[in-house]
Amino acid sequence: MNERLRFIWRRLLQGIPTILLIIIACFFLLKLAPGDAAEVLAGESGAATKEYVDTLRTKFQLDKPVPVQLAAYVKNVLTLDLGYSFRQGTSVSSLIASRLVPTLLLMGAALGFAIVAGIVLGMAASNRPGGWVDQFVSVLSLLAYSMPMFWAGLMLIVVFSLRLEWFPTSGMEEVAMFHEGWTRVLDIAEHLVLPALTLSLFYLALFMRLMRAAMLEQRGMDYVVTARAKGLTERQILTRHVARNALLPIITMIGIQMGNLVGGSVIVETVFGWPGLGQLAFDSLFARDLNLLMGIFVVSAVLVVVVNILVDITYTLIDPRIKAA
Amino acid sequence: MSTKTLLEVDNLSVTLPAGGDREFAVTDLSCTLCPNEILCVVGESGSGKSVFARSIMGLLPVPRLRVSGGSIRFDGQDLVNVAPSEMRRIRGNKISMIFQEPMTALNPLIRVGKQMEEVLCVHASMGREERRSLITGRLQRVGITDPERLLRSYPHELSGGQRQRAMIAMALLLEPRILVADEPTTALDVTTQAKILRLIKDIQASSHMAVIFITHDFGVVAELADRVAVMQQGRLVEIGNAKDVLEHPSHPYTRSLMEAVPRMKFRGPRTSFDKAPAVLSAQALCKAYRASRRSQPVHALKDVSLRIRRGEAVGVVGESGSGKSTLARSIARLVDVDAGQILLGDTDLLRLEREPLREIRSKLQMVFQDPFASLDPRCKVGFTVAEGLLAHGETEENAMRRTDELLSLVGLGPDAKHRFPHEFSGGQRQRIAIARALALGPELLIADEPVSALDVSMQAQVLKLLADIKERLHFSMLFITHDLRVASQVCDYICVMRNGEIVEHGQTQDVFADPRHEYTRELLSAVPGLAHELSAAEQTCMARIGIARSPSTSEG
Amino acid sequence: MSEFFQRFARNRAAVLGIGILAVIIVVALAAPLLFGADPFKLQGKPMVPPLTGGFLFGTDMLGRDVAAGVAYGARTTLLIGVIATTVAVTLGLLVGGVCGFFGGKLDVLLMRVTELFQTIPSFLFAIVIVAILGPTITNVIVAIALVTWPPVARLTRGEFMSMCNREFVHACVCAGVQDWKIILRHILPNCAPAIIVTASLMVANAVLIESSLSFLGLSDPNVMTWGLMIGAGRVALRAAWWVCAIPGIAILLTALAINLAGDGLNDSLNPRLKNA
Repeated sequence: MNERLRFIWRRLLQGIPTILLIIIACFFLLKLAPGDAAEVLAGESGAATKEYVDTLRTKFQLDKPVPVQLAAYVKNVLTLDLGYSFRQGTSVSSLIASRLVPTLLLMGAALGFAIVAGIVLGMAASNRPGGWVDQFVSVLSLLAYSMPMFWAGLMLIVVFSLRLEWFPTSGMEEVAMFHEGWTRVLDIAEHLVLPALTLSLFYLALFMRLMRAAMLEQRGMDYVVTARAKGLTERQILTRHVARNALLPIITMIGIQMGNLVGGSVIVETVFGWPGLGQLAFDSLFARDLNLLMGIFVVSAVLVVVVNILVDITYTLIDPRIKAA
Repeated sequence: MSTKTLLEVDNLSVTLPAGGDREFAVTDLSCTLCPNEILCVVGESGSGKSVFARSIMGLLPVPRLRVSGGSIRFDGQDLVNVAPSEMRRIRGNKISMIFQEPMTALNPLIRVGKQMEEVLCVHASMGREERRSLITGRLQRVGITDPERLLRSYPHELSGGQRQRAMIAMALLLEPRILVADEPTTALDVTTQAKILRLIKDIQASSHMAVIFITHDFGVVAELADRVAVMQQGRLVEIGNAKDVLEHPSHPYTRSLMEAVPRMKFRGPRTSFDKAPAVLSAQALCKAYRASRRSQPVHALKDVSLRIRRGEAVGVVGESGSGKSTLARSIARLVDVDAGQILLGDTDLLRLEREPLREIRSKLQMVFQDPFASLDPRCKVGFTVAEGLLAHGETEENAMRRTDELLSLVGLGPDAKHRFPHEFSGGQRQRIAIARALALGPELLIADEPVSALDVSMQAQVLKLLADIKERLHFSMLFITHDLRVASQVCDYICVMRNGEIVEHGQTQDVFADPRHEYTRELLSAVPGLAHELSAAEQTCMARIGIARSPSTSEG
Repeated sequence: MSEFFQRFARNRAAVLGIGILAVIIVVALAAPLLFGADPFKLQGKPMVPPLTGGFLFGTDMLGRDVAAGVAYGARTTLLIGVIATTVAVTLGLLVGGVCGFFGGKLDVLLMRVTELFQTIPSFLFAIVIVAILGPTITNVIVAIALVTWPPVARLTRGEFMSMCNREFVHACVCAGVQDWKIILRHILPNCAPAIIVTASLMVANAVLIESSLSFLGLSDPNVMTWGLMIGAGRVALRAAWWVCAIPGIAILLTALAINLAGDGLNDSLNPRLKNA
């Protein structure tokens, strides 16, 4: 048990330089932007007053040499002082904090659906390779892979919101209604269906194909023959032996795809008006509020690092061959 | 020998998928198995022996392979058309099977104890305590000294020998009437193999179980079998009592196989190379590997010294992990050592880099173990052989001429140079590899287990080829192998390696006839079937030096 | 070589993919001939449905010909997709090849860099790059290339390392063959299939990223792209859904065709790996 805790601690420590590097990279990216750095930071929305721009200049030490600027920037980011957004009228940190939960909700729902449905369909497809389930899964995953996410969302809106009127077209909840308790949960759930489905499509395809391939590969393994020689039924072999081994590549893939998931949420939230970090990023683009955009960027990167650590830990829990060393 | 037959196989045929080299994996196979006997099924790769073993238990990978004709009767019950649920009742219970690769035959994610318990959960209703004590008892029976620890372990935490013992214990849990063993010792070290063979023989004797033992090694047959069945290309060509078949084989194929089996050579003309100049002299080679910064270093070579004289064949024998391959690769400068000196003539190889090293490489050539991996599948054979010559500045015309000569020398003919490696068999590919090695006219040929991956008949041919061309071209050879019989045939001088050190060395006949070191004796006594090869005089000699005829069966 | 073409031709899905791609390329090349020089020109009444008034795909909210937009969009998208992938693959090959062949400290350093790039959410990073550098075609290409090179580097490194451990490479070293010859004659040809397949699938990925970027408005507003059309058509989603649907179908078909062809390539270059 101790070894595992040490492993977690070490992974956390490893994550820190990565995050620091990302912050430093952000700093240099901002430097690349054309124009005066303070004005860039304040945003071209024109709402910035001259005093504010001057304050920025001092806070970020923009008249000092570059290394000093870098240190100031890093310090500001780490103390979660990401500046002030004029357009939104509140500090960047509180903006991000308020938008974080809806994004996590959306990503969690999409990922959860993709994993469960992907595993089930992938297993079904591998049961009879070439059968009609397999063919269906093949075609479905090929289409989902090739589909642009924003277009899929828009088409879902056209069919299910505009024509069939089964689901609302946008937003997270009916704000004017002030629902409480369970009604509120149901309301949010209703709004969540289409966005989560859209976001999950690509990953559904991925996990379906992966699970199918992993199951087929594991079924050819020697330990399956041993299990059969012991007298187990095919179902017992599948559930007790094969499935467990086939899950390993899926877990690895979750970690790898986290970065994509965050990017996908930008698109889905924009299309569906979902009030999360993604939409905030889009708004900041329009407002040329690069400071806000960078803040979101850093937070997303931290999120990816954290999820990757969780994935690594989960992997060591399942696969005893990976020494938590 | 009981009169009642336990297993009756009648004209069994198993089809192969379309597009293979033949239509049937097994054709018209008929044999019987009586209780309380060990039947060894022996054959080369592709003979269908494994397919036969699996078809008994209904473990064929349907639909690729299918029983298309004949019958298998176990105690009167038809096993081919049996209902799946009935077959499952028999598997692990009445008939059990153990496999070749214990590492992959166990699920890497589940503890060994749990996997063993599964057999009991499926076939018997026992309480947890009862299961535990039964399993622990069996593990002790197979020679595991700490059963509790093994039950808690995962497969990758055990050694090869321990895994195979656990597999055997698992197969024997419910005291089956028949044990089918598919090459269970092939993947193990020689010393471990000897112990496991002894173990199987013991268990069979005490439980009167029938055993079908698949193998390619006639030494194992000599050790173990009551009866022998010889298979060739899916057909059973000879079957009979072990003594009869081994000493007076009637079928020509069996005869050719027996001739190809390498024998331990204890006597023969001695060639002394003391007067010849040293071609290679390696001094105090040290190499350590570190898996990661934190773990203990593994010493692959500990202060190893070696000398090879002109025209001499020096053998390095040892088991896996002894460092013999590392030694070969260090001398060939494929791997860097941490300390030491390698003198080729007067030049210290370890001091050379880049251009001078590249040039001197032509004097040291290597033949590798795996004939399938040592040739680039995308290059034509002619190019592969000529590449070294071209790299050293030879003209294309001369290189091609030399390639033709070499291909003829190894028995393949100049036409081979237009073809690709996958068109050749394993033995033929090894000949191509030898031709490539000879292209640059080396002074020293390093052969790293060159015949270990080959079938017995091809093995004999390649060894003969090596001996012939060594005579003709007068080069020296460093021959790495784990098989003492092969080493005794080929080598003039022998070094025995263990855990990175040379524990004994000397003229081959001296070392094998009068082994000084305990480990050498252990290796010698582990050679399967050795006792049956020795003449009476040799046997007394062996006994005098104290080579145990019956190695202990417990681990360690 | 001819064996490869035969295997490929037998895969009907792959042939279909190539067929669709051919059609798209032809339309893209012929765009000026078919639709005149300017896809932004107002051609007719706004929001005309498809197959009416002489417009195959109808018109958008301003009266522009959707079909012309699709044809011109094909040019931009394919161009960006191919160039961005070429840059990414070249960069990935260089980095991965150096790591895989030489190993050592350089390998460790470059692998850390690759890991860093892979931790950063890639699409968000692309948005940031274009947002900072400015929305031009060149910057879009740069952004896509910067975001898609790490997997190629990883793959190349993995392939190189596995090749370097093969015995036939050891045999070449033993024979004194020069390093560069080994790489060119032995390692690269054996790694090529995996890299070729990956590169072809990356073009599809690049197409999707490019269209997503231009949907969000991060592309040169004077250049017609499919994403741009869909982004602009959002406001009229209820009344003129075809303005969004049809360019999206074009994107789908392009990516689908590339994926089919790529899968077919994979199957014909690695025939032994086909599943039972």
